[in-house]
Amino acid sequence: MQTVTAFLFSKQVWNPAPYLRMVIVALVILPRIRRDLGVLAHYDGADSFLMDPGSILVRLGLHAPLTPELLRLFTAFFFLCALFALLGIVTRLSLLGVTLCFGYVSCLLSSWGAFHHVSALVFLVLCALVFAPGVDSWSIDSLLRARRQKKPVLTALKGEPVPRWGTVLILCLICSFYFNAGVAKIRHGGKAWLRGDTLTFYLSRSTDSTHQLFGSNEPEETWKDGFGLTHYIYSTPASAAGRTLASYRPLTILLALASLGIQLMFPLALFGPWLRNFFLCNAIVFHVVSDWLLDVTFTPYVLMAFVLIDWPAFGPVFSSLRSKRSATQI
Amino acid sequence: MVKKIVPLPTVTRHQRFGVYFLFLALLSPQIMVLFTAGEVWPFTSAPMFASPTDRLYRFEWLLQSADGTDRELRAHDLYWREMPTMRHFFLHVYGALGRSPHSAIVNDNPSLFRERLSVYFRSIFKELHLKRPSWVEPGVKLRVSILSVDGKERPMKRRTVGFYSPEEQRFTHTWESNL
Repeated sequence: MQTVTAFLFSKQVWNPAPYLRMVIVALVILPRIRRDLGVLAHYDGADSFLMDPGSILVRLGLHAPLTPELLRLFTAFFFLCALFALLGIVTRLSLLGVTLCFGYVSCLLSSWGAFHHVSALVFLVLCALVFAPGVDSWSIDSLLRARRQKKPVLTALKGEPVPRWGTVLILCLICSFYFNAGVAKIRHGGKAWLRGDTLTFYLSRSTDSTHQLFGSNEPEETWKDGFGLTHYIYSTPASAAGRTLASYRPLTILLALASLGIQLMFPLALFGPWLRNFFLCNAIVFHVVSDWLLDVTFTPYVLMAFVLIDWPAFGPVFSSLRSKRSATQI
Repeated sequence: MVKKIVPLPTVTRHQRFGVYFLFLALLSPQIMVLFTAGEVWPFTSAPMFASPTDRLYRFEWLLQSADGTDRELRAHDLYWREMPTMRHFFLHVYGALGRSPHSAIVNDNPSLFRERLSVYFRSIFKELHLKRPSWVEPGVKLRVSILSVDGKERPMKRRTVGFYSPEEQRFTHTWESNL
């Protein structure tokens, strides 16, 4: 336990927390505020039977949709918090405001039937960021602090080296998401996933349907409808490249196995900077390829993975490359 | 390269327990959903399913007026999104069948099924009255069908599950099983 505590509280050279704060707020939350709240406005006054708000909102008593007046007030507060968190004004408090508003909106949107996988991880990372050491570096707060303490501006903006537990917690959350996704592929798909069948199914779908489709692999006779629907189908219209890939079975199997392997082994990212960088780079490639082949867009995951890369670990590599180049020039 | 871990000189008990509590609070629900295979936002087991051998279907809600004209009712007619609306209907109202990756409705039976669909379509008609009042004419009925579709989503076979009458505020289950 002592070793774990010593590790968690040891100082880290590279603190991604302030960059994550700025990237998530500027590139994920701010562009979505109007769109998400616009969707919520259409559900105003709808019967509670038309939604399933989930146990968290029900327990908090926040499951009723917002009235138009409250929605306007909420939008203004959300936007102000996001702006303050981005610039770093009362950083931690405004970040807490953003986290709660974003969580509330995403949770309500998920109550209407489609689980928001993208916003789920973003919300958990924000929860960790609210408490993460050094999240208020590169902020107006740190500039004001520098003025008060008469420190050089750049040193004050960068902040002091901080304990690494914030970064470790965020990495743990990301690892758990990928690991769960890997386990789910075996649990629900099993042999079908390993044989590449599930991936082939999604890669073969060419229609950009406006209908939600459902699937069944059960016998047809049931008392409900005689069809026996068992699950819904994810709406992922495959690209031309995806459809071409679906016809090459060995490639599909390879892709299915590679994605499963990466996801199941993702927790190894916690063991050292090189493993961390390897898995985060793989996550980026995985999402870029998924987006290209299946139109499954997980841009916030890509952004978070990019910021979380342990960039100083590349330092020795770059300096050795530089010295080699200068040696050849001589 | 092994980095030397240098602990901070002062880590108080409160700081230590605070950090452990935060790890526990955020990570334990994520680990729990891994075992339950469920999803409670923001904690997810990230399910992914389907296979080329699956048969494909879609729901069809058809408004049938007394003069015999039919009009398909879609989620966007109520200014809602198709995908979440139909998934919610399927998961929480219609109910998935037994061996499903989603949690099926426990001990479902025809009477519970009729009751759920009656309450759900009552709410839908309340929305229709507000958003498309001209569509709710006297004598109108809503037919709930399931269409079997092929890989290109072309309809192949239709089975009517039942009808909802807004006047009686009741769903009548008309599909009869040969079981």
